[in-house]
Amino acid sequence: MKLNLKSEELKALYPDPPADYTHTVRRTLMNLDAGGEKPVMKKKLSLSLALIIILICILGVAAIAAMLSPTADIFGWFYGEQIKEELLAGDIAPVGQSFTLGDVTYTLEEVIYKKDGDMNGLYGTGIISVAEGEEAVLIPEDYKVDDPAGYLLYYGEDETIPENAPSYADLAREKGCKLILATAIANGVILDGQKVVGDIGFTQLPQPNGTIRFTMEIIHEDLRADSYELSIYISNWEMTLTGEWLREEPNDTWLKEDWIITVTPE
Amino acid sequence: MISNEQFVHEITELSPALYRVSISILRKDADAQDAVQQALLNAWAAKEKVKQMESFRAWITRIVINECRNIQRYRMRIMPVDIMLEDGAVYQAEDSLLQEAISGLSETLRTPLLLHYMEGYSEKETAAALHISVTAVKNRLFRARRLLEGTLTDREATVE
Repeated sequence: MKLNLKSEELKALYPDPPADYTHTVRRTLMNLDAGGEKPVMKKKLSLSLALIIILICILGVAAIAAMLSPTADIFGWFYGEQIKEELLAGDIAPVGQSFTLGDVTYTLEEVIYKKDGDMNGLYGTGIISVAEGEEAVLIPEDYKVDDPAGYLLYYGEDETIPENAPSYADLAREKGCKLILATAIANGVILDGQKVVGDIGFTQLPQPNGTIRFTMEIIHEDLRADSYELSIYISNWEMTLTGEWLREEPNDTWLKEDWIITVTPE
Repeated sequence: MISNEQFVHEITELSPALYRVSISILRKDADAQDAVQQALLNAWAAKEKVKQMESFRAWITRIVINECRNIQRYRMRIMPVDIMLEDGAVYQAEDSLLQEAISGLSETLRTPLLLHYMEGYSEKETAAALHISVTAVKNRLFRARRLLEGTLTDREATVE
Protein backbone atom coordinates (compact mmCIF):
# COMPACT_ATOMS: atom_id res chain seq x y z
CA MET A 1 0.00 0.00 0.00
CA LYS A 2 1.08 3.61 -0.60
CA LEU A 3 1.51 5.55 2.60
CA ASN A 4 0.05 9.04 2.91
CA LEU A 5 1.14 10.56 6.21
CA LYS A 6 -0.78 13.71 7.13
CA SER A 7 0.20 15.93 10.01
CA GLU A 8 -3.26 16.27 11.55
CA GLU A 9 -3.93 12.54 11.38
CA LEU A 10 -0.62 11.83 13.07
CA LYS A 11 -1.25 14.44 15.77
CA ALA A 12 -4.60 12.82 16.49
CA LEU A 13 -2.76 9.63 17.39
CA TYR A 14 -1.05 11.29 20.32
CA PRO A 15 -2.74 12.69 23.42
CA ASP A 16 -3.15 16.42 23.88
CA PRO A 17 -0.81 17.76 26.52
CA PRO A 18 -2.59 17.48 29.88
CA ALA A 19 -3.65 20.64 31.67
CA ASP A 20 -0.96 20.23 34.32
CA TYR A 21 1.70 20.15 31.59
CA THR A 22 0.52 23.47 30.18
CA HIS A 23 0.46 24.88 33.70
CA THR A 24 3.97 23.53 34.42
CA VAL A 25 5.39 25.08 31.25
CA ARG A 26 3.80 28.44 32.04
CA ARG A 27 5.04 28.37 35.62
CA THR A 28 8.54 27.35 34.52
CA LEU A 29 8.67 30.15 31.97
CA MET A 30 7.44 32.70 34.48
CA ASN A 31 10.03 31.59 37.02
CA LEU A 32 12.78 31.55 34.43
CA ASP A 33 11.98 35.12 33.59
CA ALA A 34 12.05 35.94 37.28
CA GLY A 35 15.38 34.27 37.97
CA GLY A 36 15.09 30.51 37.60
CA GLU A 37 13.79 27.56 39.54
CA LYS A 38 14.86 24.02 40.20
CA PRO A 39 12.59 21.46 38.58
CA VAL A 40 10.68 19.07 40.76
CA MET A 41 10.97 15.63 39.21
CA LYS A 42 7.82 13.58 39.41
CA LYS A 43 9.30 10.14 39.66
CA LYS A 44 11.34 8.60 42.42
CA LEU A 45 12.75 5.11 42.29
CA SER A 46 12.71 3.18 45.52
CA LEU A 47 16.07 1.73 46.57
CA SER A 48 14.64 -1.75 47.10
CA LEU A 49 13.08 -1.83 43.63
CA ALA A 50 16.35 -0.67 42.10
CA LEU A 51 18.29 -3.41 43.92
CA ILE A 52 15.85 -6.09 42.78
CA ILE A 53 16.12 -4.92 39.22
CA ILE A 54 19.91 -4.76 39.30
CA LEU A 55 19.87 -8.36 40.55
CA ILE A 56 17.59 -9.38 37.68
CA CYS A 57 19.95 -7.70 35.23
CA ILE A 58 22.98 -9.48 36.68
CA LEU A 59 21.27 -12.87 36.60
CA GLY A 60 19.78 -12.37 33.17
CA VAL A 61 21.71 -13.94 30.33
CA ALA A 62 20.97 -12.93 26.78
CA ALA A 63 20.43 -15.80 24.38
CA ILE A 64 22.37 -15.34 21.18
CA ALA A 65 20.84 -16.92 18.12
CA ALA A 66 23.06 -18.83 15.76
CA MET A 67 24.15 -16.61 12.86
CA LEU A 68 22.89 -18.36 9.76
CA SER A 69 23.37 -15.24 7.73
CA PRO A 70 24.54 -11.92 9.18
CA THR A 71 22.43 -10.07 6.60
CA ALA A 72 19.23 -12.01 7.30
CA ASP A 73 19.92 -11.74 10.98
CA ILE A 74 20.34 -8.00 11.05
CA PHE A 75 17.45 -7.19 8.71
CA GLY A 76 15.33 -9.59 10.74
CA TRP A 77 16.24 -7.45 13.70
CA PHE A 78 15.21 -4.30 11.81
CA TYR A 79 12.03 -5.59 10.21
CA GLY A 80 10.99 -8.77 12.02
CA GLU A 81 11.33 -12.54 11.87
CA GLN A 82 9.26 -12.89 8.69
CA ILE A 83 11.71 -10.71 6.76
CA LYS A 84 14.58 -12.77 8.11
CA GLU A 85 12.98 -15.91 6.74
CA GLU A 86 12.37 -14.24 3.37
CA LEU A 87 16.00 -13.18 3.10
CA LEU A 88 17.23 -16.64 4.04
CA ALA A 89 15.25 -17.90 1.04
CA GLY A 90 16.97 -15.41 -1.28
CA ASP A 91 20.14 -15.77 -3.37
CA ILE A 92 22.88 -15.50 -0.79
CA ALA A 93 26.31 -14.41 -1.99
CA PRO A 94 29.12 -14.65 0.56
CA VAL A 95 31.61 -11.96 -0.44
CA GLY A 96 34.40 -11.43 2.09
CA GLN A 97 36.18 -8.80 -0.03
CA SER A 98 38.04 -6.02 1.75
CA PHE A 99 39.30 -2.57 0.86
CA THR A 100 41.63 -0.48 3.00
CA LEU A 101 41.28 3.28 2.89
CA GLY A 102 43.86 5.02 5.08
CA ASP A 103 43.76 3.46 8.54
CA VAL A 104 40.39 1.79 7.99
CA THR A 105 39.50 -1.54 6.39
CA TYR A 106 36.06 -2.16 4.92
CA THR A 107 34.91 -5.75 4.47
CA LEU A 108 31.71 -6.65 2.65
CA GLU A 109 30.65 -9.95 4.21
CA GLU A 110 27.57 -10.96 2.30
CA VAL A 111 24.90 -9.81 -0.12
CA ILE A 112 21.43 -11.30 -0.56
CA TYR A 113 19.36 -10.81 -3.68
CA LYS A 114 15.65 -11.22 -3.09
CA LYS A 115 13.05 -10.85 -5.79
CA ASP A 116 9.71 -11.96 -4.40
CA GLY A 117 7.70 -11.04 -1.34
CA ASP A 118 8.13 -7.83 0.64
CA MET A 119 11.85 -7.55 -0.02
CA ASN A 120 12.67 -6.74 -3.64
CA GLY A 121 16.30 -5.90 -4.12
CA LEU A 122 19.74 -6.32 -2.64
CA TYR A 123 20.57 -6.53 1.03
CA GLY A 124 24.03 -6.69 2.47
CA THR A 125 26.18 -6.23 5.51
CA GLY A 126 29.83 -5.81 6.34
CA ILE A 127 32.32 -4.66 8.90
CA ILE A 128 34.40 -1.52 9.21
CA SER A 129 37.54 -2.11 11.27
CA VAL A 130 40.88 -0.52 12.02
CA ALA A 131 43.42 -1.60 9.39
CA GLU A 132 45.94 -4.21 10.47
CA GLY A 133 48.97 -2.66 12.14
CA GLU A 134 47.19 0.66 12.75
CA GLU A 135 45.85 2.05 16.00
CA ALA A 136 42.65 4.07 16.04
CA VAL A 137 39.21 4.28 17.61
CA LEU A 138 36.32 4.14 15.15
CA ILE A 139 33.13 6.11 15.70
CA PRO A 140 29.99 5.66 13.58
CA GLU A 141 28.20 8.59 11.99
CA ASP A 142 25.44 10.02 14.21
CA TYR A 143 27.29 9.19 17.42
CA LYS A 144 29.02 11.80 19.55
CA VAL A 145 32.53 11.57 20.97
CA ASP A 146 31.22 11.46 24.53
CA ASP A 147 28.71 8.67 23.86
CA PRO A 148 29.56 5.31 25.49
CA ALA A 149 31.69 3.41 22.97
CA GLY A 150 30.32 0.29 21.31
CA TYR A 151 26.70 0.65 22.42
CA LEU A 152 23.63 0.96 20.21
CA LEU A 153 22.10 4.00 21.80
CA TYR A 154 19.05 4.42 19.62
CA TYR A 155 18.01 0.91 18.78
CA GLY A 156 15.98 -0.55 21.58
CA GLU A 157 15.43 -1.07 25.20
CA ASP A 158 17.47 -4.16 25.95
CA GLU A 159 20.83 -2.45 25.97
CA THR A 160 22.28 -2.02 29.44
CA ILE A 161 25.04 0.55 29.57
CA PRO A 162 27.40 0.35 32.55
CA GLU A 163 27.79 3.57 34.50
CA ASN A 164 31.53 3.62 33.86
CA ALA A 165 31.42 2.73 30.15
CA PRO A 166 34.20 4.69 28.41
CA SER A 167 33.26 7.09 25.64
CA TYR A 168 34.83 7.15 22.18
CA ALA A 169 36.93 10.13 23.27
CA ASP A 170 37.98 8.30 26.47
CA LEU A 171 39.22 5.31 24.47
CA ALA A 172 41.18 7.46 22.04
CA ARG A 173 42.67 9.41 24.90
CA GLU A 174 43.66 6.24 26.79
CA LYS A 175 45.27 4.69 23.73
CA GLY A 176 46.78 7.98 22.56
CA CYS A 177 45.47 7.27 19.08
CA LYS A 178 43.32 8.84 16.38
CA LEU A 179 39.55 9.01 16.55
CA ILE A 180 38.16 8.24 13.10
CA LEU A 181 34.60 8.59 11.85
CA ALA A 182 34.08 5.94 9.17
CA THR A 183 31.10 5.39 6.87
CA ALA A 184 30.10 2.91 4.17
CA ILE A 185 27.03 3.76 2.12
CA ALA A 186 25.60 1.73 -0.75
CA ASN A 187 25.72 3.80 -3.89
CA GLY A 188 23.91 1.59 -6.37
CA VAL A 189 24.41 -1.39 -8.65
CA ILE A 190 26.19 -1.26 -11.99
CA LEU A 191 24.48 -3.33 -14.70
CA ASP A 192 25.86 -3.30 -18.23
CA GLY A 193 27.91 -0.23 -17.41
CA GLN A 194 24.88 1.71 -16.16
CA LYS A 195 24.39 2.58 -12.51
CA VAL A 196 21.01 1.46 -11.17
CA VAL A 197 20.26 3.40 -8.04
CA GLY A 198 16.74 2.63 -6.78
CA ASP A 199 15.83 3.49 -3.18
CA ILE A 200 18.81 3.03 -0.94
CA GLY A 201 18.89 2.46 2.79
CA PHE A 202 21.93 2.13 5.02
CA THR A 203 22.88 1.90 8.66
CA GLN A 204 26.07 1.92 10.70
CA LEU A 205 25.99 0.17 14.04
CA PRO A 206 28.75 0.30 16.67
CA GLN A 207 29.92 -3.09 17.93
CA PRO A 208 31.31 -3.97 21.38
CA ASN A 209 34.67 -4.98 19.85
CA GLY A 210 35.28 -1.51 18.41
CA THR A 211 34.27 -2.30 14.84
CA ILE A 212 31.25 -0.85 13.03
CA ARG A 213 28.73 -3.05 11.26
CA PHE A 214 27.28 -1.47 8.14
CA THR A 215 24.16 -2.54 6.30
CA MET A 216 22.72 -1.61 2.95
CA GLU A 217 19.52 -2.20 1.06
CA ILE A 218 18.90 -1.26 -2.53
CA ILE A 219 15.24 -1.55 -3.42
CA HIS A 220 14.80 -2.22 -7.10
CA GLU A 221 12.84 -4.92 -8.89
CA ASP A 222 15.08 -5.23 -11.95
CA LEU A 223 18.41 -6.08 -10.37
CA ARG A 224 19.99 -9.07 -12.01
CA ALA A 225 20.58 -12.01 -9.73
CA ASP A 226 23.38 -13.96 -11.43
CA SER A 227 26.22 -11.46 -11.13
CA TYR A 228 26.41 -7.72 -10.54
CA GLU A 229 28.76 -4.97 -9.55
CA LEU A 230 27.99 -3.23 -6.34
CA SER A 231 29.10 0.33 -5.72
CA ILE A 232 29.73 1.37 -2.12
CA TYR A 233 30.81 4.88 -1.19
CA ILE A 234 33.35 4.55 1.62
CA SER A 235 34.91 7.43 3.49
CA ASN A 236 36.60 8.30 6.75
CA TRP A 237 38.07 11.31 8.50
CA GLU A 238 39.58 12.12 11.85
CA MET A 239 37.74 13.84 14.65
CA THR A 240 39.20 15.77 17.55
CA LEU A 241 38.45 14.55 21.06
CA THR A 242 36.00 17.43 21.37
CA GLY A 243 34.06 16.27 18.33
CA GLU A 244 35.27 18.54 15.53
CA TRP A 245 35.49 17.00 12.08
CA LEU A 246 38.87 17.39 10.42
CA ARG A 247 37.59 17.62 6.88
CA GLU A 248 38.83 21.02 5.83
CA GLU A 249 42.21 22.64 5.28
CA PRO A 250 44.57 23.05 7.01
CA ASN A 251 43.66 19.78 8.77
CA ASP A 252 41.87 17.89 6.04
CA THR A 253 41.99 14.13 6.76
CA TRP A 254 38.99 13.18 4.62
CA LEU A 255 39.50 10.08 2.48
CA LYS A 256 36.79 8.82 0.15
CA GLU A 257 36.43 6.18 -2.53
CA ASP A 258 33.78 4.58 -4.68
CA TRP A 259 34.44 0.90 -3.98
CA ILE A 260 33.22 -1.44 -6.73
CA ILE A 261 32.73 -5.11 -5.84
CA THR A 262 31.70 -7.90 -8.19
CA VAL A 263 29.16 -10.15 -6.50
CA THR A 264 28.15 -13.58 -7.73
CA PRO A 265 25.47 -15.48 -5.78
CA GLU A 266 26.15 -19.16 -5.20
CA MET B 1 20.42 36.63 20.17
CA ILE B 2 16.93 35.68 21.32
CA SER B 3 15.28 37.99 23.85
CA ASN B 4 13.55 36.73 26.99
CA GLU B 5 10.17 37.69 25.55
CA GLN B 6 10.89 35.87 22.29
CA PHE B 7 12.02 32.80 24.21
CA VAL B 8 8.81 32.69 26.26
CA HIS B 9 6.68 33.32 23.17
CA GLU B 10 8.39 30.62 21.09
CA ILE B 11 8.26 28.03 23.87
CA THR B 12 4.59 28.72 24.51
CA GLU B 13 3.89 28.17 20.81
CA LEU B 14 6.03 25.04 20.60
CA SER B 15 5.13 23.42 23.90
CA PRO B 16 2.42 21.06 22.51
CA ALA B 17 4.84 19.84 19.81
CA LEU B 18 7.63 19.38 22.36
CA TYR B 19 5.29 17.33 24.52
CA ARG B 20 4.29 15.11 21.58
CA VAL B 21 7.93 14.53 20.66
CA SER B 22 8.76 13.75 24.27
CA ILE B 23 5.88 11.35 24.89
CA SER B 24 6.48 9.59 21.58
CA ILE B 25 9.95 8.71 22.87
CA LEU B 26 9.30 8.15 26.57
CA ARG B 27 5.65 7.00 26.53
CA LYS B 28 5.10 8.13 30.11
CA ASP B 29 3.39 11.42 30.85
CA ALA B 30 5.48 12.11 33.95
CA ASP B 31 8.73 11.42 32.11
CA ALA B 32 7.64 13.47 29.11
CA GLN B 33 6.84 16.45 31.32
CA ASP B 34 10.12 16.09 33.21
CA ALA B 35 12.07 15.99 29.96
CA VAL B 36 10.43 19.16 28.61
CA GLN B 37 10.77 20.97 31.91
CA GLN B 38 14.45 20.13 32.27
CA ALA B 39 15.02 21.02 28.62
CA LEU B 40 13.48 24.46 29.19
CA LEU B 41 15.88 25.09 32.06
CA ASN B 42 18.85 23.96 29.95
CA ALA B 43 17.70 26.00 26.98
CA TRP B 44 17.19 29.12 29.07
CA ALA B 45 20.72 28.83 30.44
CA ALA B 46 22.13 28.46 26.93
CA LYS B 47 19.82 30.75 24.96
CA GLU B 48 22.71 33.07 24.03
CA LYS B 49 23.79 30.33 21.62
CA VAL B 50 20.74 30.90 19.42
CA LYS B 51 22.01 33.17 16.67
CA GLN B 52 19.13 32.85 14.24
CA MET B 53 15.47 32.55 15.09
CA GLU B 54 14.81 30.14 12.21
CA SER B 55 17.01 27.56 13.92
CA PHE B 56 15.28 27.90 17.29
CA ARG B 57 12.73 25.14 16.78
CA ALA B 58 15.38 22.56 15.81
CA TRP B 59 17.61 23.74 18.65
CA ILE B 60 14.99 23.41 21.40
CA THR B 61 13.79 20.11 19.96
CA ARG B 62 17.33 18.74 20.11
CA ILE B 63 17.57 19.75 23.77
CA VAL B 64 14.25 18.01 24.53
CA ILE B 65 15.36 14.86 22.70
CA ASN B 66 18.66 14.88 24.60
CA GLU B 67 16.74 15.05 27.86
CA CYS B 68 14.53 12.17 26.72
CA ARG B 69 17.65 10.14 25.99
CA ASN B 70 19.13 10.99 29.36
CA ILE B 71 15.98 9.63 30.98
CA GLN B 72 16.10 6.53 28.75
CA ARG B 73 19.75 5.91 29.57
CA TYR B 74 19.04 6.29 33.25
CA ARG B 75 16.30 3.71 32.88
CA MET B 76 18.43 1.33 30.85
CA ARG B 77 21.19 1.49 33.41
CA ILE B 78 19.03 0.49 36.29
CA MET B 79 16.07 -1.48 35.04
CA PRO B 80 14.43 -3.19 32.12
CA VAL B 81 11.88 -0.97 30.42
CA ASP B 82 8.95 -3.34 30.86
CA ILE B 83 9.37 -3.15 34.61
CA MET B 84 9.85 0.61 34.51
CA LEU B 85 6.64 1.06 32.57
CA GLU B 86 4.70 -0.41 35.46
CA ASP B 87 5.87 2.47 37.60
CA GLY B 88 3.48 5.26 36.66
CA ALA B 89 0.89 6.22 34.10
CA VAL B 90 1.80 5.01 30.64
CA TYR B 91 0.37 6.52 27.51
CA GLN B 92 -1.80 3.93 25.82
CA ALA B 93 -2.02 4.14 22.09
CA GLU B 94 -5.39 4.48 20.41
CA ASP B 95 -6.78 1.38 18.78
CA SER B 96 -5.47 2.28 15.35
CA LEU B 97 -3.46 0.33 12.82
CA LEU B 98 -1.32 3.36 12.05
CA GLN B 99 -0.67 4.07 15.72
CA GLU B 100 0.23 0.46 16.32
CA ALA B 101 2.57 0.46 13.33
CA ILE B 102 4.25 3.71 14.41
CA SER B 103 4.64 2.44 17.97
CA GLY B 104 6.35 -0.62 16.54
CA LEU B 105 9.08 1.48 14.93
CA SER B 106 12.35 1.85 16.79
CA GLU B 107 12.93 5.30 18.22
CA THR B 108 15.65 5.99 15.71
CA LEU B 109 13.04 5.76 12.93
CA ARG B 110 9.96 7.00 14.80
CA THR B 111 11.34 10.35 15.94
CA PRO B 112 12.47 11.63 12.50
CA LEU B 113 9.19 10.39 11.03
CA LEU B 114 7.13 12.30 13.58
CA LEU B 115 9.25 15.45 13.40
CA HIS B 116 9.01 15.54 9.62
CA TYR B 117 5.47 14.36 8.92
CA MET B 118 3.64 15.21 12.13
CA GLU B 119 5.36 18.46 13.15
CA GLY B 120 6.27 19.61 9.66
CA TYR B 121 10.01 19.97 10.23
CA SER B 122 12.06 20.15 7.05
CA GLU B 123 14.68 17.45 6.52
CA LYS B 124 17.33 20.02 7.42
CA GLU B 125 15.51 20.97 10.64
CA THR B 126 15.00 17.31 11.51
CA ALA B 127 18.70 16.68 10.96
CA ALA B 128 19.60 19.60 13.20
CA ALA B 129 17.15 18.47 15.90
CA LEU B 130 18.54 14.94 15.90
CA HIS B 131 22.15 16.02 15.42
CA ILE B 132 22.52 13.79 12.37
CA SER B 133 23.15 14.44 8.70
CA VAL B 134 20.40 15.25 6.18
CA THR B 135 21.39 12.05 4.38
CA ALA B 136 20.78 10.08 7.54
CA VAL B 137 17.35 11.74 7.91
CA LYS B 138 16.45 10.79 4.34
CA ASN B 139 17.58 7.26 5.02
CA ARG B 140 15.60 6.94 8.23
CA LEU B 141 12.47 8.42 6.67
CA PHE B 142 12.83 5.97 3.81
CA ARG B 143 13.22 3.03 6.17
CA ALA B 144 10.37 4.16 8.44
CA ARG B 145 7.94 4.63 5.53
CA ARG B 146 8.89 1.29 4.09
CA LEU B 147 8.42 -0.45 7.38
CA LEU B 148 5.06 1.24 7.97
CA GLU B 149 3.82 0.34 4.50
CA GLY B 150 4.76 -3.30 5.06
CA THR B 151 3.16 -3.43 8.49
CA LEU B 152 -0.05 -1.73 7.39
CA THR B 153 -0.38 -3.95 4.33
CA ASP B 154 0.01 -7.04 6.52
CA ARG B 155 -2.49 -5.77 9.09
CA GLU B 156 -5.09 -4.80 6.51
CA ALA B 157 -4.81 -8.22 4.92
CA THR B 158 -5.35 -9.78 8.33
CA VAL B 159 -8.38 -7.59 9.05
CA GLU B 160 -9.95 -8.42 5.68
